[in-house]
This record gives sequence, structure tokens and C-alpha cells, in this order.
Amino acid sequence: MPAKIRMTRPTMKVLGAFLSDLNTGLSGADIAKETRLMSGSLYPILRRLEKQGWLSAEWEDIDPKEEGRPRRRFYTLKANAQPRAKQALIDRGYYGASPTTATGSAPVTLGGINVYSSG
Amino acid sequence: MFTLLDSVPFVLFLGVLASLIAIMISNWVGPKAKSLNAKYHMDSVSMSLIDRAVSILPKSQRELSREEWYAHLLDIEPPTLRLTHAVNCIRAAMIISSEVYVLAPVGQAISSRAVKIAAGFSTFRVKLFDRLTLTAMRYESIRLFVEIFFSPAKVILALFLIFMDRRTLFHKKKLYKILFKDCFYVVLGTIIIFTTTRILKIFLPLMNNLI
Repeated sequence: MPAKIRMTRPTMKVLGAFLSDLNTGLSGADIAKETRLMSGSLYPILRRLEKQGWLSAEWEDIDPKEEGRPRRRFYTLKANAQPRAKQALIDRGYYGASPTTATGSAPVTLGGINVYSSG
Repeated sequence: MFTLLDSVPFVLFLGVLASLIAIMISNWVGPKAKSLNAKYHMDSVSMSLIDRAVSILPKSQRELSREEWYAHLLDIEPPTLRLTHAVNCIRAAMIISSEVYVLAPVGQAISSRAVKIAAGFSTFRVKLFDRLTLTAMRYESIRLFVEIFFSPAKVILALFLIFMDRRTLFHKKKLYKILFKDCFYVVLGTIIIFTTTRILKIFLPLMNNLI
């Protein structure tokens, strides 16, 4: 069971990015692009989520010498963490709310998902 | 009047000589100019910043983070933004380290109240040394001593704690060395600043009079 973590807005953005595509592993650069978070905020969050058992990470399957570049590290949201991540976003009104239940606010893209602020 | 410069063979000879010199200069300057290429230079600065960031991290995370952050660096376009990523890696490393080492609470305890030093110090002493890197220890000890230095009460309390715990701390030679070295530098720095200002106070009016 993943441990509880502090749900800050950047953390939710990162979780949103993972929830938008559950099947693909995301590298730090991908997440940064999607969430527009700076590396200074992003990597501590990734480490925290990984440490608490929400994320699993694996290295890109290449030979750095052949490719001439370092390997990327791909993160995926663990299956047992997905319901909690979704719930966390729903609790804060960032995910799963339909446009009709939203309080008149325009949808905001959070990690590739259209989200509706609960006000 | 006929001069040497008017002779065709001599002019040709000068032309060949000038070309040879130009080739030599371009061969010498070319690689240097290439190494001064802004993009190349910026990437090397970014990479050294990432190395610096990585050195702040605990040993177990260094290689992992270095490779991951380098890979991220190369994924960033345009290259001018790479420097931002590298600077941010330092911030990330500091945050990650403070979480791993539980050092942040120590700093907070010291900056809040002298009484809290005791709790902070005990955390510092008991929990951290298995996982602390020298760089992180240096950072924190410098901050600790700079903070302490500005309040005599805190200095007395800290020294008292060190004195009381000297047997416990005895096997932590590294800590002792670093703490006292940093303390020494803070004291030395203050003495230098103090002396310089005193000297300037005496000599500046004299110099003004002379001028």
C-alpha cells in the first residue's frame, strides 16, 4: 500500500501527467514538458513519490556507448497507487469532475487531462 | 625608381609567405575558436553544474541522478534552456538532500530559538551520520555556525552541548574536524573583516588628508 504523501499542486500536476497515460513510462523531461514544472521542483517530487511506493522507475533499454547519450529513466505510476492518485485529484476537484458539476470555471489542462476546478 | 617590391618574384614570395602564415594562424586559432563555441561552452557549464548538484546528494543517489539529469539536459531544446535545467538541478539536489538527511529541521530549529538548538543538535548528532555526505555536512555546518555566530547565547549553548556530549561525539572525528574548521573560518573571516575595517578607519582619513 503506497504511503500517504503531501498533495501539493505540483505533486498533483505530476500525478495528472501519469494518469493521462497509464501505459507509457515518462522520463523527467517528458513530465517537465507536460507539467511545465522546473527540474528543481520536479525531481524532489519524483524521488518522494518513488520512495513512498507510488512510482516505479526503470532505465531506458539502450547501450549509452552505442547511442552516444545517457539513458533516460522512465517512471510509471504503480497499479496500486492509481486509485489513490485519482482519488487525491478528485478530492481536490482536479480530476474526474464533469463540466456540468464544475463551478462554472473553464477546464484547465493538468498533466494532459482536462480538469475542472471545484472553486 | 625600381624597388624590390616591384619585382614579381618577390611579390609572389610575399604572397606565398602570407598564405603560409595565414594557414598556420588558422590552424592554431581554429580549434580554440571551436572550443569557444557558445553552445559547447554552455553545455559544459551545464554539465559541471549538474556535477556540482550531484555532489550534494547522498552517495547512493549520485550516479543515478547524474545519468538521469544528463539525459534530461540533452532532451532540452533550445540549448540555451539547458543552463536553467542545470541550475534547477542544484535546487533539486538541495531539496532531496535536506529530505534525506533530515537536516532542514536542524537549520530551522537553530534559526528559531536557542532552546530549540538542543533538539536540533540531538537530531543532527543521533540520526544523521550514517547517511551524511561530507559536502552536505559542510553546507549544513557552515549554515549552522554562521547562524550560531550571530548570537553569543547560541554559541555558548552549542559549545556547552558539544562539551557535554564530547564522549558521544568522540568517534565522530569527521564531524568534529569539519565543525571546528568551519567555525575557524567564520572566526577568521570575522577577524579579517574587523581588522581591515579598523585599518581602513585609521588610514582612510590619513590618505584623504594626503590627497
